[in-house]
Amino acid sequence: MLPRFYAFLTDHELISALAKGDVAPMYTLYRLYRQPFVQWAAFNLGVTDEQAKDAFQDALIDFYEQVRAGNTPELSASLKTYLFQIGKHKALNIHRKERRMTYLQVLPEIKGNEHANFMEQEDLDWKSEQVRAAMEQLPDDCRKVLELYYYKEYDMESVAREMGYKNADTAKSKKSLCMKKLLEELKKLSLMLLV
Amino acid sequence: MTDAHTEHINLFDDYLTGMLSESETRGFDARLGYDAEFAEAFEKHKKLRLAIKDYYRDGLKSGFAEIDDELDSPTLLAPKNNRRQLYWWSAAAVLAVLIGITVFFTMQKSQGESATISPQQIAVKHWPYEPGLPHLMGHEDDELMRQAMTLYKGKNWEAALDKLNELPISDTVVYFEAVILYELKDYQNSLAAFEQVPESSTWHEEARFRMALIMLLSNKTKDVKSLLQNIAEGSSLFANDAKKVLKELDL
Repeated sequence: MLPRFYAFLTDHELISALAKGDVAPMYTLYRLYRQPFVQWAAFNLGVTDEQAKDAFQDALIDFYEQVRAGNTPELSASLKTYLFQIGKHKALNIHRKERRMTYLQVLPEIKGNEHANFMEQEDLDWKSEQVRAAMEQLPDDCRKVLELYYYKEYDMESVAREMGYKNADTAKSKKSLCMKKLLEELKKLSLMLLV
Repeated sequence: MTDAHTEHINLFDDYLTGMLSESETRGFDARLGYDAEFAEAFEKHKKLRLAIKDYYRDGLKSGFAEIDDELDSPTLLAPKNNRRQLYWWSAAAVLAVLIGITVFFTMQKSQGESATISPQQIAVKHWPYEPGLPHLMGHEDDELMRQAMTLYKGKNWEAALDKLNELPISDTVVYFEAVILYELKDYQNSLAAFEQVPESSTWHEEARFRMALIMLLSNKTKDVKSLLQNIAEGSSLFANDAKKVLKELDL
């Protein structure tokens, strides 16, 4: 069960907790505002419930990453309003993208840049799926190192400290080794577009 | 292509995170222009980095799926008749829990009377662990803070304090100076530093709670009650902790 007590905090306090790297407030915000956002997005943007949920999840993760990186926004209104604004853009993007998917039947008729962009997006999505499968094959410590370095954007000294390595150079070697393993896994999965 | 990519992983990452020197960066940029294989491997590396980020973002999304299941569960969407039954059962369960809690605390209090704990011990027991700030890449301006945090995390208190003193004053600097002074058992100056953390700071509530604990350590029990009560009545992360301390102090 996810913590609920954050629901009693002010916007400012929730942001402070997120800034310290705590993800629990993000889930509390989702619990609080998911349904209002789904209803608002359906009425104002004409998106489906699933599209709205996806959009709001992306919005919250973007917000969490932004705050954690030290870029806390200055809120001119409530945090809820701010999140709805991010969610709105995400929902519109998802809506546009999914509408474009229906062009598949008439794809040969789509000319120029639009066709190229569509194919590029498809290509990228496909690769993400394969990377996900390859990541699952890595040992836990490798996944942790890659998370700290590529996702949480720690420097090598911090990675070393977090992982209990001797120093930054050891962490760097480990990161490199894990990336090589990842590339090997991708190769095994015949991901010729990435390797 | 795999070889070019594998060979240059660290170089690509160093370039993307601004870790190369000016001349190395110029050399890198030039190579992108004349070495097609190198340039292609670099493009693939950038895409791979994005895909790795997506992988971890998706991990966070599994938490949302759990909440979706909960919010969309048949219990919440149950017809009214079933709901009424659910409310009665819930009320009965809450009553049973309340009775249990009352019995538990009555027993605990009677036990507590025989084994007293000093205000100083209570303060130490409730002192929140402060892990320090994470280091982010690409914040060259924060190099001094990064060094200070490295020293702090290594519990090299005096060196960390010296490093913080080199930084321009800010709420974060003052807060960490206060935490370090506490670790050095300089309670008087630690208290004075925590008092300087402004109300607008993200550290303010935490600073107030720590001030209360330092007051306990310094035997200033007369002043601590109102501060703890004030924190307990608020809605900060430390309200519950303040209530616990008050209860343990029997104030």
